[in-house]
Amino acid sequence: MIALHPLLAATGTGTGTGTSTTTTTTSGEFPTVLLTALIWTSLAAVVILLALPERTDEERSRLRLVALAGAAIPLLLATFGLNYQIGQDFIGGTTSFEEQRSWLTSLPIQSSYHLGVDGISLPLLLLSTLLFVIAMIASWRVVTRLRLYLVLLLVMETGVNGVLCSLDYLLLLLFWGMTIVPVFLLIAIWGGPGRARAAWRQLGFATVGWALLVAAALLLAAKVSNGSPSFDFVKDNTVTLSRGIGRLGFWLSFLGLGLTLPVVPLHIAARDALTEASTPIAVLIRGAVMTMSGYGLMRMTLTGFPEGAHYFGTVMVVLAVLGALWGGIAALGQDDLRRLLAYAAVGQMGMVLLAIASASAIALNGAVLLLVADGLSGALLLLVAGVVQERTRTRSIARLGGLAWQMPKLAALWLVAGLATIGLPFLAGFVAELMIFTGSYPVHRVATILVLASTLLTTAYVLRTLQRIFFGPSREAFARLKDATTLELTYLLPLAIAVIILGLLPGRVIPVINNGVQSVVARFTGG
Amino acid sequence: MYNLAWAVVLVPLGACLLSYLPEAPRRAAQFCIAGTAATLVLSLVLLVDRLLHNNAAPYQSVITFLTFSPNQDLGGGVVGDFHLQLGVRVDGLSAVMMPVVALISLLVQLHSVGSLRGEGGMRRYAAVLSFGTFAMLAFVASPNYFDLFVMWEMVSVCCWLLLGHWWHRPESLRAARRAFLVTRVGDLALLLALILTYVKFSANVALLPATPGQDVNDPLSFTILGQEWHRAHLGAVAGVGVRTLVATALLLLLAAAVKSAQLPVQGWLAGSAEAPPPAAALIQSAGVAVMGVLLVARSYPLFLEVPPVLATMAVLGALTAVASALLALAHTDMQRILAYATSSHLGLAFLALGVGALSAGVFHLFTQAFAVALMVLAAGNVARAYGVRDIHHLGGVWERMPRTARAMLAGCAASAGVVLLSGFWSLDGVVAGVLRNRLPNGASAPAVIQVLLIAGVLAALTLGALALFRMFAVGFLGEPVKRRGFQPEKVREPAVGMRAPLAVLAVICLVVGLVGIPGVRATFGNVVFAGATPQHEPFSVVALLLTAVFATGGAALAGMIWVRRDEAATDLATRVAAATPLAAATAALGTLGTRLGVLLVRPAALPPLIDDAVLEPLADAVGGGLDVAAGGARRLQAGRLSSYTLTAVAATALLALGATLAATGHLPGVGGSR
Repeated sequence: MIALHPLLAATGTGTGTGTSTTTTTTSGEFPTVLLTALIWTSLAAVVILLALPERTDEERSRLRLVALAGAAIPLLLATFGLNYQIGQDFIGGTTSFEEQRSWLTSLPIQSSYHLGVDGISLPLLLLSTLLFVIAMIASWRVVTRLRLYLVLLLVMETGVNGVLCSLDYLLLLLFWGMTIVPVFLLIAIWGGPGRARAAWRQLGFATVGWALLVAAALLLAAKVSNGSPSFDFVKDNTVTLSRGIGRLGFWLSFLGLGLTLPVVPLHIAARDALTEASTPIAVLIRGAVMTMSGYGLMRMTLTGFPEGAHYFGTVMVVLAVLGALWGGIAALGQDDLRRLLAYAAVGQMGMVLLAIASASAIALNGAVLLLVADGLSGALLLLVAGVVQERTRTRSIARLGGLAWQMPKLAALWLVAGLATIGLPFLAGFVAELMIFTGSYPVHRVATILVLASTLLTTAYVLRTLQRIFFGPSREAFARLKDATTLELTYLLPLAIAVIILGLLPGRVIPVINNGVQSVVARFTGG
Repeated sequence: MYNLAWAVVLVPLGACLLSYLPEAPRRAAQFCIAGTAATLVLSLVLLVDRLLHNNAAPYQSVITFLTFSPNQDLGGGVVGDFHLQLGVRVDGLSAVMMPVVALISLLVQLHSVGSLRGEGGMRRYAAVLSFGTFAMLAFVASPNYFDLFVMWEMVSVCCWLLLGHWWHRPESLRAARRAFLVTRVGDLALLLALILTYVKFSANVALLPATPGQDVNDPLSFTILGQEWHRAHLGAVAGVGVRTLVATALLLLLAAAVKSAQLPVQGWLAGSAEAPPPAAALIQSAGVAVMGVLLVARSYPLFLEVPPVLATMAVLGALTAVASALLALAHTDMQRILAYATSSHLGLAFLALGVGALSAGVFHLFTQAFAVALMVLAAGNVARAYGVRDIHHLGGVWERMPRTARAMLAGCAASAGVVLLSGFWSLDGVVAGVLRNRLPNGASAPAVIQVLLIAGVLAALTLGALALFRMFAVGFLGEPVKRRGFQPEKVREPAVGMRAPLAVLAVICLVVGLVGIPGVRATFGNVVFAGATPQHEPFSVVALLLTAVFATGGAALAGMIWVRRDEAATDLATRVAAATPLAAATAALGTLGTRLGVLLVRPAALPPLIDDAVLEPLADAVGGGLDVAAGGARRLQAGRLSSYTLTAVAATALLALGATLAATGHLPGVGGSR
């Protein structure tokens, strides 16, 4: 039976939950409004921001502080949640901090306000809340339309956190929709030279993807066999679909998510968005939007349409290999630093897709860990690249060189992030990649070897960028440049430390992740 | 007692981490040296203790890095918990190799304080050396493939950092990048071998009774795999056949060959010429290059189950030994000559392992480590004093820097195998091994191959001696070559800090061979091979004579040709060496490698091209449609945001509505089949 907080146990269980035998770890005295608080704090900050003026510098710094608080509180709550979960050491497909309220009961398909996190969403939630704080600090120097900027960021954060916490498909999609317009505007207004085109592409792709997801969710909801149609079954997904519907649903959800993950032939919008968005926004697109898509693949494609995912596993694997090679090769040939990082992200997501296609427990654990690890190291790369770009006023690698003379700290940070991307032991990416390859090898042998070989490309472009940008003889043109400032270190150092800590102690989070992965795998193999 | 092994491994790591505390970089370097010295003492204690209790089972102590229950079938049944463990293992092999690594690392660090005096980056350099020492010790002492792989990678990175220590020099960067990328291929092969082992053995190992002293059975542990490989060979492990063993062994061989600079990738080791000489000494002698041979020695129980792979290894080793010796003859850069000579001797070690002479191979590694370190450090001293590395531009070292030159002579003689010095005894073991050609389980390589191997080892002996003594005769004897801006009278011996390590190494080179003299040799063999059967290393007069004749003969021949510094003779020999088909083929392969790299970069333009030409228009069909609907993107700059927001929201809503209608409106195909 689901233990709800007394205040929230308003109308009993919704239709979709059925007679669930799962137990939550939420004890009686534990506040189950944790997730509600986590999600809506950002939006509350938006309300405050809208009431505050934006004319003088003083007023602007007040705005920034309010926004930072709106991002920092969710981070604290998420940290608390993960810490609690690590302490719990629970076994079995459980969801915690669950809360459920009836909502939209009058619709033909019912939906409820049903929140909860499991081992998959909790680490991702921690990543996204951390990145929003980082992005907030990295945006400290933004002046143009500051209030709008902060508002959009916080709305986006609400959406991302909401997606990761929703156990109801309709709720999940509503939150997902909340992120689309902010991302569009954040690129379109504060982006680089090609921002308009990139923003429209992103909007188009995201909207189409979202529509496809809606269709997939409707397909599922309409088919709930036990009781009346309902969206409320992310957690207790026992829907069995006919073969045709299952495969149709797989394609709807896979394409929808593939547009934003991105999966290779569909990566143009993501590439442009990552290239043209301002640095903090690019960090969020990579660390939050792409993470959300990876999460969606596990939550929706694998859990919702296991038969289709199994049947079309080969397709996913081919696309994964294509993505890994495509991203790596393209990154190797890029001169534009930001575009290089965009392709690098595409390549890394190939690895995630490989794990998802294999649907093996070890690989999926690795995929979740890689999403977190890569979100961190990718963010660090993007942010350092942003600082370099700001100082040297160029994104062309050919025109850079010898920057370590002036910027040893930035060079060291790039080194850490680059080595983590390569998958060096004791840095964030290593265990994740090892687990992905170990888990997917028995299922897709050739593909695993190919993706493994593609990490050679990763090594090549990481070394190339490091040596071209930072090493080599000192250049006259850059002689007066400064190393990282205190403000920059404020957001760069935590990321580097997180990369190292995650690399040293993956053993702490993996059991929590595994707990969530087990339910996905059970659904996949058990049918 | 054996918990000391943890200290041996971790003290250099601690020194590395704490080296950022002292204010002066020099102080930091001294701090690191103290750490390595402490480790050396501890490892010697460990060695003595191990020698006193040689028959004891290997000692192992592990900590769990990661564990969880995947509850998954990897192909051979549902696996138990997924374990990754780090730890230490003390057995003969690690107990012997740890003091070697620690000693050479200590001498290298001592030398570095002098040779990098007055340069920037001393603290970074000292920290990397200490970290490298930690990684190498941990590699030698690793109890399972996970730990081994982790440390293997760590050493790769340290090697890259050391090669690129002078990061402002393009040639250093090139060498560093090449080394890292090439060895990365080996790293991936090792990773794949690890994964393959885990996938194939984990389910079966989970069913085994627990090993005493351990709460879990680690499917990557050497102890467990040692038995499992044999059982798999007998067909007693479900889902594991000979094919798996061969595949694993080939992957391990690939990893080892790449790391130990075997054919055709010796080039990366030659790049160590661009590193600071002490770093090059560490990389070639006790560090990166020997790891490949050690990997094979560690996995020897597996290789014994698959004789064809061992034969492949022997042939590869013989080919490399000859080809690298030829390349050493063809080069005139001191450090490159030494790097190729090292590669050649590592090839001989592989050859010994390939014909079943495990202890001879490890012993060769052991003697060469000291000799190579000595030669590279001495060459570094000379290059520092003369400002060049090309032997044609040196000369007169014997008079100007007598101690360094004598140390170099000792190193060359010991490495080349001049009678009664350390290399002689280990080379003799290799020759004896090839002559005997019998694996411990009775199998042997075909006679044709054996003849080839014998020819190879003898040719490598002569050519190796020829190359080293040519370097010595041309570079060190005679009069200093006149160059513009070079004043021979200013050439002096370096400070004592850079001489003392040479003296220590020279003494070791002269005496360490005693471990390998007939009679004592079997003891060494039994220490490093901690197996059930005692090692028989028969005394072979033929091998002894062959080694003496060919190695010493090579040295004498070099003296006859080059001692008069006859330019024509030198050039001719160099040209002949370079023109031999094997050397030419090797050089061509090296260039081919570089070409391949270029070839790989060239199609790198292709995916973005396809993206721009094909996929972008498609994307714009989506994004651009909205763009047009909204009236073009130009107005965005004009600040008419509200209309954009509105459009976007409207578009989103429309699409959502459409999707909703499509699904709930019971489309014929979707709703009807409910």
